Amino acid sequence: MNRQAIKAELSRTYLELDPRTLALGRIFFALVLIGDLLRRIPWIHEFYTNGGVLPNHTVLWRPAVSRLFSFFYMSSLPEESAIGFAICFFCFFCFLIGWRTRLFHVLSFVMTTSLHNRMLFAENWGGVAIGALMVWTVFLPMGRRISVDAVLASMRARRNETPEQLATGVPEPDNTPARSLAVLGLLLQIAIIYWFNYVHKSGQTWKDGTAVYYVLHQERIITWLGLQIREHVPYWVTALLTRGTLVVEAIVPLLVLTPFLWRWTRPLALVLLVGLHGSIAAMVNLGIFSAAMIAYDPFLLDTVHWKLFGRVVPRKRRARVVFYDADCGVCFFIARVLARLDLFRRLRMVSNQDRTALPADVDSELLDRTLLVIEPTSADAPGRRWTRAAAVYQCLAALPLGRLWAWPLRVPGISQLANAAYDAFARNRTRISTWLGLAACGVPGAPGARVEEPDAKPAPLRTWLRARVPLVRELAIGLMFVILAAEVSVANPSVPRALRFENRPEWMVAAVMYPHVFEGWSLFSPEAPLSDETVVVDAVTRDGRHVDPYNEVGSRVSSLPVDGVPVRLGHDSFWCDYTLRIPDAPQYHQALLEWLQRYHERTGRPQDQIVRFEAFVIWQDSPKPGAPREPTNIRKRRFLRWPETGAP
Amino acid sequence: MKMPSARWAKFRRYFTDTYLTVDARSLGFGRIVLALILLLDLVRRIPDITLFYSNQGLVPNHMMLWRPPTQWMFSFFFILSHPDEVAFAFVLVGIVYFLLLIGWRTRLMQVLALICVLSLHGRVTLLENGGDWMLGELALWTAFLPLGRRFSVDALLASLRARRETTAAELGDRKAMDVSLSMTVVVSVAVLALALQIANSYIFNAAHKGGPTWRSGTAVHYVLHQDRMCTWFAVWMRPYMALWLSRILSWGSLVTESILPVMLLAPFQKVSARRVAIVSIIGLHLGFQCFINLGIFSFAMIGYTPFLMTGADWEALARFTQRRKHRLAAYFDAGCGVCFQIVRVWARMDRLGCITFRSSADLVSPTAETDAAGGSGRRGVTPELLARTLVVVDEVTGKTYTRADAVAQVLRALPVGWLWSLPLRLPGLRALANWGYDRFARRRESISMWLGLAACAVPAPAAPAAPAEPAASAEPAAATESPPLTAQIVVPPVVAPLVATSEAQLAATDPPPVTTEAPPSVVASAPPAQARPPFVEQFRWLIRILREGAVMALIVVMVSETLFINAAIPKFLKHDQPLWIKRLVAYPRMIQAWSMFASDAPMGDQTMVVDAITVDGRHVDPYSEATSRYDNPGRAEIPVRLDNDSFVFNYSGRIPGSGSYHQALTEWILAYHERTGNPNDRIISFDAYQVDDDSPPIGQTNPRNVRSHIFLSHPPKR
Repeated sequence: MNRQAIKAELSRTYLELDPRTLALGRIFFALVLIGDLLRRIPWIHEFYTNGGVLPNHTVLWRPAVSRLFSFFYMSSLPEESAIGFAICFFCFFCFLIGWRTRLFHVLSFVMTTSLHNRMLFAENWGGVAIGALMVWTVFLPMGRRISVDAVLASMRARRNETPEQLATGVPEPDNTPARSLAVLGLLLQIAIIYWFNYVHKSGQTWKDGTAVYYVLHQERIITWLGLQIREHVPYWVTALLTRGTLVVEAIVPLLVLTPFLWRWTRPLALVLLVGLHGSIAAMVNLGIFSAAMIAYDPFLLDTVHWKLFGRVVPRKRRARVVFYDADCGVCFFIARVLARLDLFRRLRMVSNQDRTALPADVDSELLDRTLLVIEPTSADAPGRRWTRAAAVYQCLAALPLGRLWAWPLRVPGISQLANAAYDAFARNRTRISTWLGLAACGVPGAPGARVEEPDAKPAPLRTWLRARVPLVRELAIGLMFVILAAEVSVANPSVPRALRFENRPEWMVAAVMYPHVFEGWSLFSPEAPLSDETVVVDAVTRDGRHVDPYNEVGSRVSSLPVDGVPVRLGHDSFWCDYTLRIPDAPQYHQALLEWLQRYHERTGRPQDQIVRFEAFVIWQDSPKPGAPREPTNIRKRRFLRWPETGAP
Repeated sequence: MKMPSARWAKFRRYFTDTYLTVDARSLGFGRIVLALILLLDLVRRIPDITLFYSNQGLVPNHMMLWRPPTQWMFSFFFILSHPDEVAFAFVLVGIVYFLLLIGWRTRLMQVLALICVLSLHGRVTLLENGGDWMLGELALWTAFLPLGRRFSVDALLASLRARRETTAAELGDRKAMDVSLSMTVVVSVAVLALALQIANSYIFNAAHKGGPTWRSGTAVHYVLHQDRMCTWFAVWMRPYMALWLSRILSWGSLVTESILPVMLLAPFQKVSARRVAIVSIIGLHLGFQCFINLGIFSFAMIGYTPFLMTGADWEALARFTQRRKHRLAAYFDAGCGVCFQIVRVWARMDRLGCITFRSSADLVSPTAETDAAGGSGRRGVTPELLARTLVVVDEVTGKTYTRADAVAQVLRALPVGWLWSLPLRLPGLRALANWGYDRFARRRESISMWLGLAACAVPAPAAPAAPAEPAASAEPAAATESPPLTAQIVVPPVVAPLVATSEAQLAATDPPPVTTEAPPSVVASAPPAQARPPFVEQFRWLIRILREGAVMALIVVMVSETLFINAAIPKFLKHDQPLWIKRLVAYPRMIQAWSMFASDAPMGDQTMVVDAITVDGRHVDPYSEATSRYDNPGRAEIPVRLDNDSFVFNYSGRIPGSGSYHQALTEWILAYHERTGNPNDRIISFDAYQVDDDSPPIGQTNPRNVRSHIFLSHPPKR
């Protein structure tokens, strides 16, 4: 291989991504962001308002890190935070559908950083994983395919499209791979996460295969399925899972970064990682962590995989010919959009004026009343035909995942409604077209018809500036490399001292803190946790009852007294991490105290007013493999009391 | 009895003309003044970034959020803790204000500027005064008005896009350039809201001034003895402030504040009444500013005055400037694309029609020698000269200018041109400007080509041919901020009966025809005009309705707050405000409590001092060092003219009674050695005093009865 070829191959391997891969990655990522947002909604009051356990003033007074950024520090009241959440959802949704993708990608970065940094005290590695993924992908063109932007660009490219042109198909989308250092950054990020997670798992529990066993004894994070596995699955299975975890984490960096057969090793890594994180998520609740890690995986796909996918996707069986009223502006517009959404090229759009394509037994006047969809025929078998809502269903079903969202049109009852709506639309299509400023019934350019300005050639200055944008972008990525490499070197204990960038300048530290991209990867490291813990609050109400306001909000189990950590606490990851940290965070105890004192305000019952309470942290050692299943060495420590001097 | 429809229509027209209409030029001018005041407000806060906007100062964000002065607050400065973060935000705010000033993407900048000013004020509500409220309210009401229609980059760009001249002769038709010509008025309820707002402040400021100092006319005398806020002029004036002078000034202020609402809201003689109001407001507040530092208050009030100007005022101004206008002929190289574009911009900025533009092509035309107005040959203007420089001929004096001098003359002929042509006329800068001009002239060909323009008879890169048929309705190409060709007619449902028929107004303001001929050489022609689809028109109509509805809702809020909070309102008009009104008052700071120096002028002065002992036994006053002219004034007296800014004297006045914020003050004082960098400055104990005195009666100059009390100590005293 000559030098040029090697260079090209290295570029293909480490610097290029298919735009379809980027699009799929965008969709997954946006769904993760939306999921992350939705799971925070029940916690708005506790973690995003001043009525909760982490008021904004407390966090700003004693921040977890010196440099923080979050719009949610502005909001003190639940309704203010709710507005912030609505804005977040809007940004994530626009990012999902790929409308003004670049803008909403950046805004999503800002909003997700705000969401996480507001409650850093209760965040886990899932937030960090999302932040790291944001940092690299924000430099990539994620809206070039499978997006609203792509559809609009295609429509603009052929502004004066005619039905005849549409019948022959739409312009082929540009599948030129995106080339950027950010691709390398993404691949390295994946490798770093798993490599350091593997290297740091150096403790005895990982060596002797008991790690997963002990993790399954963490009542604060175990799921129902995890509990069943713990109770009923033999020990050797968990030992196998332990070894399997180590193996996967060890080989994934190699599979991702190898220059040999990478088109096959990376999908293998994808499968392994989905399996790893899927099983983690099934057994323990780590919040958004598993989903965030899976969101990295679509970026491991290459053009060759898309070609393969294209070959296996059924086309002929679901091919359809669609006859539409080309005279109707809105109908033609919809046909143009459908043609562009039809990624598998199953639909052939034919104007109702082209009677030659019509089967002989179809009355041409039918086409004036309804959309007609025909299954392409062979000489022997006449194709099926559909009209009205059923025809709409056939068109939608031909699109990717179309059946998933079009199936309601086939449900009895709904299909009748759909037909009625279709008929109403068909009767008024001329008026609708005119209202939208589209052509209608042979009247071209009806009042309001847009005559687009032809694209003028850009000035040389503009061309020159545009040509410089990639250079500036790559320089910024280069800077990110330096910043994050320094962070990796100091955040991971396994990095040799000689390679650590200990005395980083303040701006580099700030560049890591603000977007929350800490690069210390050591989940359940060096050991799986050998003990479990929780917090219990024994509060006495005005009428003498003992209640636990803390676990009433965050746990499945809140009854008192408690002799140990109850089975399967059902904590959300926020509550779990808050519980883990609050006993040793006296700067936040006042906020917890005031929150406990407001118990009666939350319940709305005056008799629930707390007159005194004690907050304890309870530990227990998990049972060893082969030993009786009961935890041992249960102990507790009081970390907060009110009033300080005992009973009033 | 039902009014006859003709009378009703007449009343509607009259009401609209009197209260709902504003000249677009007033809006443009008002935008410039508003932006300058916002910039001033921003700049005056810069020295206080660390002290009042960061967590190293007296008002940390967490303290304000922990014990907020009001339940509902908005400020994005709450998310910033470090001085460098705040400084960065100040830069962003400055950019927004600057873009508002020049009128680029004006609508967007109006909204952003409103967010910025509310954030700046909302972060330090402990320190705000009536001036902050008035400024915020000015930004709020004007956010509903199109401030970018005139005197803005948006208007300039819209004009350049609407008509793409290709010859110097076309530049002579100024009316055709002016796409905003038919939009001289804007009709909106927000215009009424502005007038109500400013009238409101004067009504109640006057009504509340019922105390003895105002009745006796000694109020101004006592105000001059407020050493925490008085100016050097006030200090100088004090000995001369006799009773008769104090009465003139005190009662003059009262009378002015009393008649201003009448002038502002009078349904008769609008033009004259408004002129009197403008002069009165400016005079009153400049007077205040001479004597006392009230922060941004005086400037904020003056900021309302441009919006009071009527079309008659602009016509009068135009007539006045016409008498003094220059008459220049500017000769330029029409083969140079960038030169032609610059001339196109100048032609649009030449509101007074002072400059006639002629190109080098005109010099070789058959009529050149016989053209009396051109007469270029007589003045030595030759094509060879034009190949090297712009040439400007003063047609009154006959003098000829070239190079940077020519540019200076052109700029001088533009509105306010004396200001921005000044640098080009200063001796050292003039030489520099000539050097810069020569470099530009030598490279104009490559610059033109670089910008995609024609250069020296080399046509521009192929522009597409204009479409065969221009659209039936000639309107300019849609642009982000391009104003529509018709007068902005807003017809909210409630006031719809009051507004003249839109058809009549539209008929009076038909847009001028737009040239769409194919270009002979230099630049592409304007694209054919595009009518908007009906749904877009309906959507825009809906937006207008919603906007006017929002203004009316805010007027209801303003009225409710006025009735609720002002002592002069009779009891039977007081009411419990619903929650939504309280929120709409609190978030945008629509406070309507107007009682400045009311009911009495303060008859005593007040300040705050700190007596702190350092680790090496020295007595220092960290507070005064940071906020006053005097490093350690002590508590024996309040020194003359403390030179506090308004934030400091508001803080000094409020902190003694605000126990919630004492911890932050304590921590700030104890961090003294960190600020000085001297370990010996570590504070081991301090007492913070409120110091008061009684101002001298009229005829005397020395304060009396100085007293002080401790409001905070460290360690705390038992």
